[in-house]
Amino acid sequence: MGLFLGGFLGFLAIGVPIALALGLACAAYLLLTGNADLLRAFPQHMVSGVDNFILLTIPMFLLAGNLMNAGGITERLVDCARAIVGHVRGGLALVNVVASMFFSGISGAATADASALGTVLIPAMEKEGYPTTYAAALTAVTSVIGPIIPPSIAMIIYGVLSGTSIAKLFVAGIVPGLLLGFGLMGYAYVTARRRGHPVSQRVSLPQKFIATGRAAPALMLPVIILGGILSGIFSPTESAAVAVIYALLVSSLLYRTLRLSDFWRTLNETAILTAGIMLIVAVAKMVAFVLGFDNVPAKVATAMLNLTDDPILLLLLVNLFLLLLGLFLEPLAAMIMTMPVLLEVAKLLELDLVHLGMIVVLNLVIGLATPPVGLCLFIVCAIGRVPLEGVSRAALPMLGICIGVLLLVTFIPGLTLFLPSLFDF
Amino acid sequence: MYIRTFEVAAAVLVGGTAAIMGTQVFFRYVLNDSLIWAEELCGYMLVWTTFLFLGMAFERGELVTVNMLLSRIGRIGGFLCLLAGYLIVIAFLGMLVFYGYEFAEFNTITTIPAADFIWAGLSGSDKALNMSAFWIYLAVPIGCGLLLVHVVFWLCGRIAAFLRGENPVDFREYSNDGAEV
Repeated sequence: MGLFLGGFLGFLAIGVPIALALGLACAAYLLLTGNADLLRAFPQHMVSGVDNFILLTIPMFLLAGNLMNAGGITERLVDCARAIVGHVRGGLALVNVVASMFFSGISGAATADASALGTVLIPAMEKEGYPTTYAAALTAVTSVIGPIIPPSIAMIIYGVLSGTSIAKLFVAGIVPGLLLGFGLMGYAYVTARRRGHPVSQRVSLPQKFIATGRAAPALMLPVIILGGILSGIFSPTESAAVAVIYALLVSSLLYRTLRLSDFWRTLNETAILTAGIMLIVAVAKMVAFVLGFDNVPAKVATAMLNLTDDPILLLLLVNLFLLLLGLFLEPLAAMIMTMPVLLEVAKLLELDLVHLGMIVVLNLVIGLATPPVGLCLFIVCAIGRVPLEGVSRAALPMLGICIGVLLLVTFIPGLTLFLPSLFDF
Repeated sequence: MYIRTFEVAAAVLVGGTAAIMGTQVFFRYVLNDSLIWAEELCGYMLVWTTFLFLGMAFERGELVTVNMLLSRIGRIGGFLCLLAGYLIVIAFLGMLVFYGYEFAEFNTITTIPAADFIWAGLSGSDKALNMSAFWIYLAVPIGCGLLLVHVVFWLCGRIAAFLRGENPVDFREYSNDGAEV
């Protein structure tokens, strides 16, 4: 275990990509413990890790999101959000949050959210007189809602690693996602009042209808995905394919903004993004195999239980550990490394796996908006041309709200488990 | 030409997956006749997509790297670490190519059931096509080989930059152009 972790951190420190560092750490562990012939099993483990019907949802949801984005939906969503909340004090800040929630239902990734909305909203907020650091921080933190509200790539991978139903995980994400959104809206409103943030022009009622109507086909996408899965018409994988076809129809026929060359580029883009994500998934089996060598996960879990048998303290400990890990690691890699241990802990605590999934994903995606290593933070800093320090400081109170929601989700299982329990999966 | 090939491959693999799965839903609900080979075939296409595009993903900075430490230890120290790290990566990828091919060859005797079903559907005959699973597992050595080539070229570029007196380490703390998480 120590050997594996040391190897991983060592390779990471000298600039090896995270996914390869995981694979290398496994290889180093096998070599140094005299199990070199097990290296032969590497390709087989990689293929069997990838060849999974559920994982097909990843390229499909990526493609659907990319198609929608290439079809110019970002601006339509922002316009729609502006029509709804723009006239309140700090209107554009609220628009940022609402647009993020809309976008979450279309893309399954926080980084897609940050880069698409950041390019539109950070300059717009700057123009209205918001501090750029505040605009950038708000964009980074709200993008965290992306992997919580379905569809979600992080949830899909959690589902595959833990053997949990993707449909349940998707439905479970709705309430925590809305909580995050409303919490951040509350923060943005209070801040706007205190600091006298500008009010956007009131949009007239007919214009409101037009803006909503223009965004409605895009907003139907999450309804189709969830509706299809919940009614049992199609499996999550099929729903992703249907989402692609719907996105293609909307952006090419209805919005008429998608050209053939865009479509071609989008397919290529999707294939490359898929490879980047799936490489981490491909090494996951090997990591679990190596970690399971000396029954390490069970030992760590028992050690944690020996530390304290109070479930509340134990859950706090898990949260703290995951948050710290999320500060330094990208969510998927962090999930793959901790999953074997967490599953043991869940077994000992008799924790519901859907509930655990929400805790794990929420913890790790919060790390996307925190320094020193936070992908969404880096994206918004690049867009707004602002230093990391300033944005991080502005993000701090917003992260406090995220952690508040995390604690609610951790200790009130009903928030995640109530909605899935209504449906018979 | 090289990039064009990948664009076509992406269209076939990603576009094809969407088309096949869409057709499957149509067949099941409209024609009441499931395509039994669809899931299996799409799984294999995902395997190929993953491995074939590793090189491109590396080239585009989609494989997330942490340069926090590396950019702080000076030009020469950073270069030596980078060199050592990537030489190990190259060795690792070489091993994957070798064992990957060995594993693919080992699977020559296994056949792909989906291919038989499609063949039976197209030709109407019951005779099995017996397409070898070799073609699925070949994705590993080919994909890792392509990644190896990209890494070698990239490393040569870094060495050249170092020799020109530049800092070979990317100054961005975290190099990424938007990997989707």
